[in-house]
Amino acid sequence: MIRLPESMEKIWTMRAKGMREIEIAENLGISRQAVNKALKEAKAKLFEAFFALAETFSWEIVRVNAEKGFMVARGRCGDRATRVYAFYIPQKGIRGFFGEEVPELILQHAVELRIVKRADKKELIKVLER
Amino acid sequence: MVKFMKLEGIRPSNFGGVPLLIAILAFVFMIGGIELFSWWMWIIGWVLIFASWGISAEIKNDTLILRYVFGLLPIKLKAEDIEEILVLNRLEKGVLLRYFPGIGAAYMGVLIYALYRYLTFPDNLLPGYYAGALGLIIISSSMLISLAIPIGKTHHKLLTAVVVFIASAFLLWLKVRAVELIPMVVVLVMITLWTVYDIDTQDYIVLKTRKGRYLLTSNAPRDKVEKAIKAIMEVLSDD
Repeated sequence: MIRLPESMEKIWTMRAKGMREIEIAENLGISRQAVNKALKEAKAKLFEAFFALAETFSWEIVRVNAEKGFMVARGRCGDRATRVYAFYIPQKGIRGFFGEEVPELILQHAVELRIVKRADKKELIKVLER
Repeated sequence: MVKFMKLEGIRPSNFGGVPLLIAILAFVFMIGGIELFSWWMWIIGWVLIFASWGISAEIKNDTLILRYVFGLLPIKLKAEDIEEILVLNRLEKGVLLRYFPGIGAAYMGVLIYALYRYLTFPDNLLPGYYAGALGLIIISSSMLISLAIPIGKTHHKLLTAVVVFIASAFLLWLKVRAVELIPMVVVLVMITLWTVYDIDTQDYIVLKTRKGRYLLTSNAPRDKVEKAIKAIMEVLSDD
């Protein structure tokens, strides 16, 4: 499974947490252009990873967000249609779950990235589905 | 080598950016036409509304080009600017108004104007005086229903549209009680229900960029929509 290069991942995570490009550049002591370039490449890699994942398992894409690093897709579990949610988690790569079985790791990650304000499984699904 | 692909069956909508401004201008001209009894303003309004709708979407290298104003206005979205792609009708609670509040505000403006105009008309004028304002009330309400209720809840939308229609019939009854208005009312009902149904059965691809959100719509068969989504995805993955 894909992992972003360490420095690129660090920049992407800072941006996903809401920092501006200039703040990231100052924080890491690099140029703003370097931050911008890393973010562009990170986004392309995340899009590519999520699309490849969906294609491998014949999931139908519902949404892919490269800024916060998540995907919602429609898949099948046996004869039953089901929702699939996948997140890119720094240092771990892509992790996912089916239906409403949200793992604690993903919930905490969603709070850290401000996808949701509090660690509430229903709230997370609601945010992803609207 | 230059990569080029036309996205078959995909049409950019006027729900955001410059096209939305053109659509709002169209509404202003239409309302101005009604207020000032000016045919040319009315015609310009209609030309602008057609111009605000996109005519095609294509991919050229790493850029998605949306063509508006009869093909004269290209809006270029570079892959690197796109942060999210989503198919709104596939979300469980996908609401157009959440992603495109501007178009909702425009229809709300039209509705408020039409209600004001209708209620300030004196009673018992010739039926034609009420028809224009009532048409605007019904059409703008139907659009707001379609924008505010999640896509796929067709029955809820049609039921709400019927409630709007009953309220509009009551408004008409307050002003004039003439049998010759029944055919007009029937036509308005058909237009309303068709509008609501048509909006609810389309595919909606939303592209979130740094500069705003863009909407692509399609009535095409599913395989064409899938092909278009895949083509956009390939552009986004290409670094």
